[in-house]
Amino acid sequence: PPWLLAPGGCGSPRSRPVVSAALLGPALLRRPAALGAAAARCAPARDSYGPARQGHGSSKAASLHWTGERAVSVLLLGLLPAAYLYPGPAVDYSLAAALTLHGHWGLGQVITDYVHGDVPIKVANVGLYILSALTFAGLCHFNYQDVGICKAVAMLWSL
Amino acid sequence: MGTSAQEEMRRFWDRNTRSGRPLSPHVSIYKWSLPMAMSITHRGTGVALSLGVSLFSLAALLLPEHFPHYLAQVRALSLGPALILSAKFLLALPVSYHTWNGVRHLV
Repeated sequence: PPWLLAPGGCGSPRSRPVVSAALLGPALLRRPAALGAAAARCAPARDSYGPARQGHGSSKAASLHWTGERAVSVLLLGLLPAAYLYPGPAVDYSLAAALTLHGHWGLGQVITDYVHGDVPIKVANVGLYILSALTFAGLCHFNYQDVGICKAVAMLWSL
Repeated sequence: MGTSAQEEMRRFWDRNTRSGRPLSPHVSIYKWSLPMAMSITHRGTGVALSLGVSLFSLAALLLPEHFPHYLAQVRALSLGPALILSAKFLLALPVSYHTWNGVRHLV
């Protein structure tokens, strides 16, 4: 198969696997793993952490931000059963951090979608930073001086 | 080199806003689909929960008494069980929706 022999993986990102899939036809059913592996190698526009190609930017900031968002989401998801099963300061402060960061990034996306114009965007993001900083400070203060998030939820629900 | 992308975008938006063209109807006429509704609800619950957490946090910083004090005040109101259950449901609903729909986004 030509794309497996091409040096450094695929040239154009998506055209070859599609064409090859059409040519392979019924053979695709018998060799899904091989095509999947080749398609996976062909899919990215450049090698994983290699140099950028001609004409492309080289910042991975947006991509890393996206991955970070998913990571924090998964972390927060895991903290929910943890808060129920192992309530205490560790989960309290982890919840404060994960909750604030998840909310900060989420509201950031909302701003990106609905706020337009250089100055409004800057103002909104500064406001968001202030809100998130205050939120984190307040939650930590609550954890330290008061009963803590886990206990508070338990007490509220016992009402 | 010519103009940069930023410059071209700025020129477009300047001309667009200057011409004062009306915005064609979109959300008001487009037929609602389940994915659309679920997506905006996910965003709505997310924003609401975030603001709720921030409100709670600011209250923790500003209010003089501790949490048990205020909880005792609510308990002293002797609200009926139906009202309390409704309130718990109204709190749990956005959390649950946002959590489960969030899992749907993650997988």
